[in-house]
Amino acid sequence: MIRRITLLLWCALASSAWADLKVATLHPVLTDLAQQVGGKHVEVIGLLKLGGDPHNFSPSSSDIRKMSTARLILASGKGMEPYLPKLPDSLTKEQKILDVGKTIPSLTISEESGLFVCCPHHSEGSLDPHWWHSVKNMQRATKIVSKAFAKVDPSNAATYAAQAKAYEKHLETLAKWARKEVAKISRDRRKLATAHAAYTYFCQDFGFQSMPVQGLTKEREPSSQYLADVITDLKDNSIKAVFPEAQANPKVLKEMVRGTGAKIGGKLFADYTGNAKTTTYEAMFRHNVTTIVKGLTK
Amino acid sequence: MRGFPLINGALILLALGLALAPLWQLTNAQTETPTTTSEVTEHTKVPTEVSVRYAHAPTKLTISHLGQDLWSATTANGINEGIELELPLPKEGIDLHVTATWPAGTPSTALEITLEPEALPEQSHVLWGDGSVDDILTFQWHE
Repeated sequence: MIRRITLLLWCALASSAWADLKVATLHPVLTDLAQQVGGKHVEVIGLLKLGGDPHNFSPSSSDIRKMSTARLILASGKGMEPYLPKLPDSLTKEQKILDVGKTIPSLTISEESGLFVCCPHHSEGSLDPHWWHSVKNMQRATKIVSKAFAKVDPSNAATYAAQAKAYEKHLETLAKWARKEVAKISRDRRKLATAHAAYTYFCQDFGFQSMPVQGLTKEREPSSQYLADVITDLKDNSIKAVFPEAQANPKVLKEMVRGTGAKIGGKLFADYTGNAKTTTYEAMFRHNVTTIVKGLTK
Repeated sequence: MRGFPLINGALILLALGLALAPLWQLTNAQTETPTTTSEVTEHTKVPTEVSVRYAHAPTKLTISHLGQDLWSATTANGINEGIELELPLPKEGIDLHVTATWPAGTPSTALEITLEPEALPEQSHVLWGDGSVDDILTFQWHE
């Protein structure tokens, strides 16, 4: 028995020691993505654990220590990690930071985009950093990560490219499933009222208009004028359901929608910091699509 | 400061009424029944010609909308002629669920679906399939 345990421990230690590349990630979406692309050749150190809030995360000294062995650090970018410009000061010259979101087209709040029901005139120019809510963006990120892995570990470049291609194909199947699910909602009823503006990319892909009921971000309190406008918009647009975020307290939302005719829908995951059921990007995406379709069709 | 009890009472009632009026307005506004979604989303159906082009004839084709089959055709049963359907066409567009199957051994092939609604320009979309397709096509005329 002891020999078996020793063998298992040795195997576990050996597999991590033998990984060809060590990568640290600053967002759980990137942890999953790095594992999908890297497979057994990459050891992924996810600094933000499930349940953590990336909006309030900043690497501690122990996180910096964990990062010190990684050759590549993956960041989601688009302002999600405000500490990113200063992070190189804590790293060695050999360590590289890959801002995955940098090459993904950004969505900003503007009157012309037609993506918003209620906030262009309040928050013109604000940026949504949650690019992973578009499967197309995830496919693009897969290519970016695969190329970066190949650059720092050229000996496994072909494997990374093959694994990235397989994951992209898998994501295409996911997008197809989502298109069929969302098609159950008539296009003129596709108004997605959520607590904050975290689903703009999702809205663009599936023809929704976004309505961030409690303002753009958790950090910025909405003005009373904004709240009054939202209540009017909820009534005028006959919004069927308002969806809270998994980590937020839905009490405030409940209070806001009282008397508007809208109900409180299931909880959505904005930053993929879900529970045991949503440990992968795919599980999070499927959960969100199913919850939205259920909330707007029943 | 004793005054007339009747006048005093009336004045108190008037003051109370004035204070309660805005409160009543607020609560009344809260309980107002909102317009139901179905009322808002009623759309006039537009007569629309639906036609199909392909390099390899599918054995079966189905077009549905919101879970309802609009057209189910086979090679022996009208797939070439197309069909006229009454479609709701809101400015947000319409998602059509298209499924098609080809005989075994058919190479990767394309299927073009064209919609020609009354008084609107025609619009086409292409789907590619390896033996079968099962996907959503979005048609939108108003930006």
